[in-house]
Amino acid sequence: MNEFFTNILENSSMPWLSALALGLMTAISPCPLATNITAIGFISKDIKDRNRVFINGLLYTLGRAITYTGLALIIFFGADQFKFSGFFQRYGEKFIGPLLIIIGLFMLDVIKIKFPGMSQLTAKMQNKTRWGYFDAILLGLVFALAFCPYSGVLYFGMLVPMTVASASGLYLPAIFALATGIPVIVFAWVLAYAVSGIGGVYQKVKSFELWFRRIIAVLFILVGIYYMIRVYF
Amino acid sequence: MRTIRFILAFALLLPVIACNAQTTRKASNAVTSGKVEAYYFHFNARCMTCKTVEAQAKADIESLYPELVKTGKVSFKAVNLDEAEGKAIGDKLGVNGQTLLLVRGEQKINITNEGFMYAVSQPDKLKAVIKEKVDGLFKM
Repeated sequence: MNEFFTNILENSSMPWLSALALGLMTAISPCPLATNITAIGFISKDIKDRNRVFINGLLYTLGRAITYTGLALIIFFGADQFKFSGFFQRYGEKFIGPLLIIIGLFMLDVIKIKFPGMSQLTAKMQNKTRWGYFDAILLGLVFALAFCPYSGVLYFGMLVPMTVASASGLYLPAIFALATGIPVIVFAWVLAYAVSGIGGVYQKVKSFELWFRRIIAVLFILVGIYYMIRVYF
Repeated sequence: MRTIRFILAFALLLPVIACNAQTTRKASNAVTSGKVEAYYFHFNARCMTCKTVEAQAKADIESLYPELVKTGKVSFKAVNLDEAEGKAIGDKLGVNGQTLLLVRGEQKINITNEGFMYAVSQPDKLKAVIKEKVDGLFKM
């Protein structure tokens, strides 16, 4: 599979096709698989609503696109590419482990913190449905920053040089992001479709969604521990 | 859920804060030498492809230039940027991240992209690239 994408990269004279191949190479590599699995869990949390899961998947991809485009723009406008990529390659994986564990613990309600003065504002946010969508975008924004060694090379070493070569290449990170998000969207949607297929059984078990969310929380913690072990031990 | 939102937002700002806090390091002069040195720079956390790139590049150097490796005219060194010694070498050569680099005196050729594209699925292509670049460096 990888050879197929490498051949596309070598022979393609169309930058968008190269960006697509790079994104798919990133998506199928074992390295970012753990964050992808976590993302699938997170965007499937509204599992009773298939359309919502699909929209969450698209918004998660939008979040990734914003990060990838933003980073490319910063380099385009003169940031030191080597220093920049070095920073993300060095720290990307280091921050994602603790972050996933903390999010998991909050999802399980093991930790509860009330930010002073924030409660009224956040209560307003909570009441609006669109903030629910915002979570998926935020997750995409953050997860895209977690470069593993392989995806770091594909993005900073190959995609960014193509992107910053001229202003007309600035759409390429969005295509890259779409390709990295496709497996997440597809799997989340298939999961939601399969669960809704259970139909009657699902309707009767009212606590199913609560338990599903708990499983996702545990998934966050396990993947976080995996990253911690990988990076720190 | 709102707490999670704050954590995610904070995580997003973290790189900006940390990046600004970093001091600018001046790139010092490269290692001056008549021999060709191949370096593979990495961090503590390493993926399968990364390990393959290192192993393949090392094997290629040793099989392409056995005599020169023995006499020390060609060398291969894996460098961990998470260690003080490795960081010092990285600073000297202007390397901040995962990199496969060929160095001869002031000349540096970065073949990281080729390494990651070919090491796993088409190792012969990586070998050809290494040969072409190392031979080219000796002709300079």
